[in-house]
Formats: sequence, C-alpha cells, structure tokens
Amino acid sequence: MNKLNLILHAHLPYVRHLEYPRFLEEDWLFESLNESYIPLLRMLSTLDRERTGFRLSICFSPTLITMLSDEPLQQRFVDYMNLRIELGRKEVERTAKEESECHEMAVHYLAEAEENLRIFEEMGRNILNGFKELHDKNRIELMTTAATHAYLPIYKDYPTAINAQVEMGLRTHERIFGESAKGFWLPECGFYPGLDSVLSAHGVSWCQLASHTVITAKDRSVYGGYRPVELPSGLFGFVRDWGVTSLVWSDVSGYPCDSDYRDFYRDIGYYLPMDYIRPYIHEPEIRVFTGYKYHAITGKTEDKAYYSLAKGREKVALHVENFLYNIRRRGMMIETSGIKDPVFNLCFDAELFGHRWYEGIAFLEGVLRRADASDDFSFTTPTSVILENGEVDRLRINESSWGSGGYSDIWLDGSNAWIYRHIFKAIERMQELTHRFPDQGSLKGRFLNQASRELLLAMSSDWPCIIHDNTSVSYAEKRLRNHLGSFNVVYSSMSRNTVNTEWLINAERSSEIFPDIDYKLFDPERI
Amino acid sequence: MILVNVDSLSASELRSIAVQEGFGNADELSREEIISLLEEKYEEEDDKAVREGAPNSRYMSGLTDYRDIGRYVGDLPGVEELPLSYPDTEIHLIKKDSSWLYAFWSLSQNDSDELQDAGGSLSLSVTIENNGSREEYDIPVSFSDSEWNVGIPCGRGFCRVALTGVYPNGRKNVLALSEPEDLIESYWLEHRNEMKYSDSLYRVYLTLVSTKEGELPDNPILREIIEMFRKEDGADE
Repeated sequence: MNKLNLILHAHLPYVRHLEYPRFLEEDWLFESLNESYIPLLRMLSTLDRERTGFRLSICFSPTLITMLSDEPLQQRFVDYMNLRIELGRKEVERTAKEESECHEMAVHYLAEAEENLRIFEEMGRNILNGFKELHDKNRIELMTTAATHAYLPIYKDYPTAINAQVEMGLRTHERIFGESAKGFWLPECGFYPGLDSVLSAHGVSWCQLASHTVITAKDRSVYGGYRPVELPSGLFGFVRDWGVTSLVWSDVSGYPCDSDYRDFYRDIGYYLPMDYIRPYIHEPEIRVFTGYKYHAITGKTEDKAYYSLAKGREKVALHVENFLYNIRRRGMMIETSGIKDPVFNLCFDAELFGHRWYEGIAFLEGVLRRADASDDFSFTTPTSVILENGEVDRLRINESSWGSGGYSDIWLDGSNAWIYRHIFKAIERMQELTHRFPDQGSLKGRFLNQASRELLLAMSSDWPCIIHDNTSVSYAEKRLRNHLGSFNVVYSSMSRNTVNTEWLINAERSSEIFPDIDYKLFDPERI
Repeated sequence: MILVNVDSLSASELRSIAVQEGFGNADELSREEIISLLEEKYEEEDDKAVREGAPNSRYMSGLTDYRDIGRYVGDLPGVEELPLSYPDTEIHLIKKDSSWLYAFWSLSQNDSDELQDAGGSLSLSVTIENNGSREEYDIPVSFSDSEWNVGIPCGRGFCRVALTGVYPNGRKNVLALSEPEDLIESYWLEHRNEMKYSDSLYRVYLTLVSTKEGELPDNPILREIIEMFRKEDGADE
C-alpha cells in the first residue's frame, strides 16, 4: 500500500493598501482566491459530499489568513469579481459575434466567476470557514507556518526573532481556526539544526523537509525519506518526494507544460483594444491579466491554437493515470528494498493549482478520486502517520531549503544581502527596547507593539525572493524600506521618550495584522 | 513571480509590454525588433528563462509579476530613510550554501578613527575548525569594505570570523567576533567504504531524488554522494 501524504501550502505576503482605490499587488490575493482557493474548496467539498475517501494537509500562512479574514479586502474581492463578471458578460457577447472559437471558454469563465462569488458570499465572505469544516470532518489537517513566512535559517543567531515568528504563526492560526496546529510548514523548507527544538517547545509535532536532507544527513538514513524522520528534539520531519513532485513541478517536462493546456500569458487584457478593455485593467491604461485567456500553450510560437476544454480534460485524465502509475512503480521498487507501506510526501504550493496551472484543480480531483478507488493507495496526513507509531529514521540533518542549490542562495545573494544589515540591526534594537521599556501599557505599549509588527513584516521571505528574481523589485524594496523605516520611527521616538501618536494611528491602520502581538516577544530573557 | 516569455507573445502583447518597459517607439518596431530589445533588457534579469528558453519557469515561483509594474505604484506612506550603515562595530556570518559563507560588518567611527590614527589596518580573521584540525588566516580588508564571502569545506566543525585591527607593531585587536557557522557534515561523505554494501539503500535514495528523466535536485552534496554510490555500484559489477 502506498501512502499519499499530500501537503498544500497556501501563502501570499501581507498586501493591503486601503489608501488606494485599487492596488495592483492586491490582485495577487484576488486572482488566487478566484482561481485557486475557492475552486479547491469547491472541489474538496464536492468530494466530501460524495464520500470520496480523501485526506490531505493544507497550510494557510498567517499573512494569508489575516487577509482572507479582513473585511475591507473581502469587499474589494467582491468588487474585483463583479468587474470580472461584467467583463465576462461582455466577452460572452463579443465572442458570440466575433471570435466564436473563444465563446465556449468565455461562457465557462463567466459561469465559474459567478459560482465562485456565490460560494464566497455563502461562506460569509470568509472561505476559511469552509476549510475549517473540512478539517473538523477529518478530511484535511490544517497547519501553519512562520508569522510572516520568514526564511528562518538566516535568522538563527537571533532566537528571539525565530521565537517571535513561530509563536505569532501558531497564535494567529489558533485565533482564526480556534485550535492549535500540530504541523508547521517551514517557509521555503528552510531548516537549521536547533529549529526542531524551538518548534517542539511550542507543541509542534511535525514539519516538512527538503528532498536532499536525508541523504546528506549527518547520520545514516535507512528509510531514505519514505518514513518520517525523527529529529533530535522529537519533532517529526516529512521529506518532500522530489521524484514524484517533479512530475508536476518540472519546468521542462512537468504536466503543466503540456501544449494542450491553457496558456497563462495570452490574456485579453494585453491584446484587446484599449477602449474595450480599459475599465477592466489598471489606471492609467496599464494592461494586466484579466483572467480571460483563450489559447493553449501550443509551443514557442506566436500562432497559438485556441484552447479546447475537452482536450484539456483528456490530458488531465492521462496525467492523473501517469502520476499514479509512477507512484505505484516507485512503491514497488521501494518495497523490494524492504520498506513496507512507503509514505510519499507530496508538497506543493497551493497557488500552482488553478491559478498558474489552469487544469491543476481538475488534476488534483482526478488524483484524489482515482487513488481512492484503487487498492494500491491510501491517503494519510502527517499526524496520522505519527500516531501509527511505526518505524522512523532518527537523524540529525544539516541546514537546508528547497531553493535553488538547496541552501540560502535565493534569499542571500548580491541583490538582496543588503537587507540583513538593516533587519539584524532592527532585531537587536527591538531586543534593546524590551529591556529599556520592560512593562509599557497603553500608548507606549501600542507604539512598541507596532515596532514588533513592522519588524516581523520586514522579515518576510517574499521580499528577498522578489528582489532575487528581479520581478516586482520596486514594490518589494518599498515594502522593506517602509517597514524598517517605520521601525526606526519607533526606535528613535522611544529613545527620546516620545510617542508619535499620529504616525502610530496611521501605521496601525495600514497593518491590521497580529492584533494580539506583544513586543515582549523580543525579550531575550523570555526564551 | 511569473516571468514573461517574450517570444511566445503576439505583436500587440509585445508592444504593450515594450511601452511599459520604456520603449516609446514600440509602435514603429517589428515583432522581432521588440523581442530583441526586450530580450536584451531581460538578459540579466531573466537569465535562465530567456537564454535557455525554458517555457514554463513560471510554475516554479510564487506570485504573478506585472513586469515592472511597481514603477506605477505611488510612494507608500514611507517614513525614515534607512541609513547606509550603523554606528556600531559588529560582524555577522550567514551560511549561503555548503561552500560559501557571507560575512558583513560595520565599524564605529570611534574604532575606525582610533585604528587609523595609530596607522593600523583592518583584517578579516577566519577560523575554520574541521574534524579536529584548526585553520586560521587573515584577509586584509580596507576601511570602506563591509562584506566578504568566505569559502568553507564540508566536515565536522565550524567557521567563525572576526574583524581585527592590526597595528604597525604587529599587535592584533579583535574588534568584533561572529557567531560560529557549522560546516555541512554528511554521513555518506565520511563513510564511502560502506556504500558498496548498501546498494538496496542506494536504490531507495535514487527513487526519492530522481525525476523520470534521471535528473537530481540541484544540490552539490547530494550529487556528490549519488555519484560516489554510482561509482561503487559500477565497481561491483
């Protein structure tokens, strides 16, 4: 029997700019909601109703669940969807008259958008309610991650900062879902020796680990990642299966590269006349994705074929079979080596499915249905595996991540190394503030709490990653400088024993995250 | 971030992107000319995606990029400019990967003045302790330097660095000392002799880390271990 331990990680950085009528980077959330999170919830709820025997784990990062629970952002998503539905109605008319090859997809997109909005409203505008319901039915195991998804190995010389990331991550999960998380997604699979002790001390039972960790470990692995790894603190690690996940992840041969699948780039936002598309893109006439995409990947050519839903579905069915075939074949190979009932840890970013790989949700659904119908597979979650009390690998592993090269090169290179000089100093100064002002309430307490909030937001792994990838660099830099600059406002004001009240009120309004934060988190003596 | 794969875009899409990228004359250019301009612009940025023509590198990353759209974003309600440096003498060491550590430091005005007034110089003192043996060496650095990459071996031990003032009489004064960084220690790098008896384990390892095309994750230690296993496996045949 092959045990499938599917772990999805849903994360977006905290982006909320109510000071603007519309803000481009907020679309990251809206696109993911409409194309990944709501379709995923719809699919899982359908399978649950039909009594398909699936189980999986999902991590919702604290920044994401904060945004998903935020009323102004919920309203903005409704506005976004209404605009998308209005465009869909126009597209249905236009394609009926002018581009009949696209008509089926226009109708499909419109119906999907309407249904997603309906579900969103039905859930009280908070889709986490739906996922919690599935969790309560023991269909999914909900887990958390670091407060702002900080890449933890780089901060290991600052136990207060590590502790603050872990504690606020767990506390935010508990505040929103009403119970503590047993699983902790290591941001970017970033691990360092000693992190397991921090997690164990907070009551965490398990985390995921990068693929190369067991083979390169300090001790001899006898299960090669197909059984849990017990780390020195007693925390269990589940090792990502590179061989199987690359069937999807590979940027050269992964399923999402198939020429029949829908192309992500060719979007009417970029090519329909400005007079037509203007109300649905960003001011001033900035062409962006609208979500209405009618072409198949086809290949590296300008002449792309029109996308066919039927062809896409056929390919999904083939890829589901191929995926399970590969696991079955690997399972046989592993069993011949004496490892019974291997656990396949399949870790993916949730936004891959639906948003970046349009057919991804259908693929997941196919895998869950087909595996449930087969005697060769059973679904599990890390907590279930631990409770079975089976054989484990007891290992000491090295610092590692799932980034390029397997260490910290993405988050620490020539382009982004400068940020750590400022963040490290801010951590030291935050520690200093907890000593100088050990017991502040009221206004000064709020001021110090805001400083710790800004510091956590500056630590997000998204900013160095964006700078490394050279994509939305100016936004990432602005965010970093803004959070660190805001921190310095508090530090310099408190050094003069003053509180800048006007600034504080504005800052609290702009970052409505971690309402229960306590600046004493950064007190070194608290560790 | 999703990188735009320019050679698969239509002429109108390309024109739109070219205008956003600052090529005001995009309307007068052919599709090929725009591709050439954009590729030149992206050559450093999208190194892998453009040069290798990887069509779907988008699936490997997290957010949608609107291609330099950030310049249309107004200034966030910013507050204080970040200083170029901080007035403390300190040094930090961070692991980049299995072979390199990144050190950065700052020097207070007082320490700098005192050392320069005495005609002294600065050194980055590196200590590597590996499998019981200790190696120490100094790298001369200037007063304007503030960072350095330090090469490390694999093994059982650590590396740490110090910012050292060196005086004309040869006296050394440690101004700041980093926390130690562990070296990458691997069982299999130290137990090669066991590999020939572990062929079944080798197959399990390979199953976890090899794609259907036989590709391995991009990790130098893992690749070295698998290569050593392969050689041992071959030697048995």
